[in-house]
Amino acid sequence: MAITINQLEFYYSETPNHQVINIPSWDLADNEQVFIHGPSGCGKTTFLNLISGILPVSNGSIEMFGYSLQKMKSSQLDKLRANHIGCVFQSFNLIPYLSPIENIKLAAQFSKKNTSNDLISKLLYKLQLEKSTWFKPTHHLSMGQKQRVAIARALINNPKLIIVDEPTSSLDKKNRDTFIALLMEQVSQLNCALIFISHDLSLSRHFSRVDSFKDINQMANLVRC
Amino acid sequence: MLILAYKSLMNRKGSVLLTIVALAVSLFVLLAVDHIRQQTKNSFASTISGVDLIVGSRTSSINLLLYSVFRIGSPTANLSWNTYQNLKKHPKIEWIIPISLGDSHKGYRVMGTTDDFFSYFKYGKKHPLTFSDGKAFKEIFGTVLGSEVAKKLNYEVNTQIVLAHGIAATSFTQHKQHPFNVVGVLEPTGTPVDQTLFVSLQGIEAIHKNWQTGTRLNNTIQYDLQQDNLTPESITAAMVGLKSRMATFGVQQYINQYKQEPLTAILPGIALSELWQIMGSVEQILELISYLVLLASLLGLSAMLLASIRERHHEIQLLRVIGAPPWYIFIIVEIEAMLITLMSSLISIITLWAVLIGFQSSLTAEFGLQVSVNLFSFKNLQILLLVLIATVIAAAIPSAMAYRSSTRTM
Repeated sequence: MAITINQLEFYYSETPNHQVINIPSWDLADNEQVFIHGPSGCGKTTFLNLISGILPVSNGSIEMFGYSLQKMKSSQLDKLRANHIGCVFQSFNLIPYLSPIENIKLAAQFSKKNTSNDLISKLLYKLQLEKSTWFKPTHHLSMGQKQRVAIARALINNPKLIIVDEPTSSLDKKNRDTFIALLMEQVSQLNCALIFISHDLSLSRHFSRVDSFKDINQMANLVRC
Repeated sequence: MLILAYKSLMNRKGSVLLTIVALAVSLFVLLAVDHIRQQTKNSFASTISGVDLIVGSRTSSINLLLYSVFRIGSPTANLSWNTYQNLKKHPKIEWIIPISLGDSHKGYRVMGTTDDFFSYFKYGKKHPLTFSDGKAFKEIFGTVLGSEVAKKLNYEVNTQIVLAHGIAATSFTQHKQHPFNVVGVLEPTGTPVDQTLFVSLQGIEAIHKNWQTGTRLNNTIQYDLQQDNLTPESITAAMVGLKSRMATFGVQQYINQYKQEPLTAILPGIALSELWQIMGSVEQILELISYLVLLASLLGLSAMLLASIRERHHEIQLLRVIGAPPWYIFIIVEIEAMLITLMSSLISIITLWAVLIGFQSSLTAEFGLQVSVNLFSFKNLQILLLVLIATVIAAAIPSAMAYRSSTRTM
């Protein structure tokens, strides 16, 4: 399994009586692509932070590719993220003053994998990013171009899991369709697991598995949503 | 990491540039104060050596040292020629060089003396004076130039020059009736000797014949330029070399208690120490102010970085998501601070170097200070290293804040 969650509970240390996440059980098979939908503010991003090991679980367990996140040291979690997880977000996706090439190289740097400029070029060509934009600071790029760079960065280390959080909310319909098509094509080629989170249900048609976050997180019904 | 830190700074050009300027100004002040202080000490300490006593009319030891050796300030009174002659006969005195000051040439001081000056005067580590061209004067209207005078005024042996009455840079009373002929040019010494024109005492006496209280009399009196008629009535001061150093305090006491006229005899080294004691507290205050200015700038740097951490919360989280460990975020902020300090150091060193080149001649002409433009000294390296360490400490607060921010949720 890519992810196995058991009796997961989470609350912020500042508010120990305010439980944010309560997931009795949830899993994701290797190479499986899941669409998770739910309204804003019901804990989806916290859920992703827990999966990627940025937030420590309060109770319960998360296993990723057979490793228990709770038992891993901070440095091991950093390596896990660098080597096995690729992320694409709605905004704050890229470092704005770095070029697409530099953003992608930065992600490759932490994985310590041998990433040549040729590999980055091939990826950017494949994602149809015009060469004239490769060396410009990313704050000069359009939203669609930025999201394509974000996909390239997420894919550069050949991750086993890609996490995508509300990636299309800033895009128009044409760019949104292009983005989804490109992402699904790359995920299919890479044969990796995908967690796609969005409140836009119309995108669920691209996925074989669709989960509601309300069903995953018991607290979503009670507290936030 | 370095490129990321550099580009991050470039992304915040405005605030970063202001911080660099503020830090560069404070570093400039710190380096300038320390460099000029060191150079002044070196310059003063190496100006005179091998002279056991300096004798002048009754005045403070520092004043006597300043006007006789460094040509700074003016004597309160002269000492008589008879006294000079009597001291010359003292059994424990090996040599005595008279000094007569009061005239100038294009802003450079003129010193009347005897040709013994070129034999006995030593500077630095007992280096004697040497001639780059010509020789010491034997004639009444011969002059020997310090290296700086010859270089700046483009004079050479056999150039004819006219001395001016008084020591102002621009004088309206010139001794045109008796031009002097350059007979020698000295090698550079790095001391006030380089900015001085040396003439014979008889020459000084000759150009002042027919003058009274600083003004030339109209009714020209004919006089004979025989050396016998040109014996001065008084001199400004005298440098003394003793037969034995053991006699120093005895001779000093003898001169200080001289009955015929009130005199002061000083030991140059002790007078210099007294001068440093007076300067010491001023130096310390200047140094303290420099360090306080630097501290203020470093706190400004820290505040600027701290403010930027709040703006860069998402950037920091993004780095964490792609696998950057928290220490990486800490180091990035420290590198940014170091880059700012290095840039400021470079700007301050270049500016100080340019300012020293620009004002080197003024410092020499106005204060007799030989300030080197070479800023590469062990002390300056120590200061820069200290500033870099202080930068690391000042940047620790924003770095720790970035570290903390990186361990929180997105």
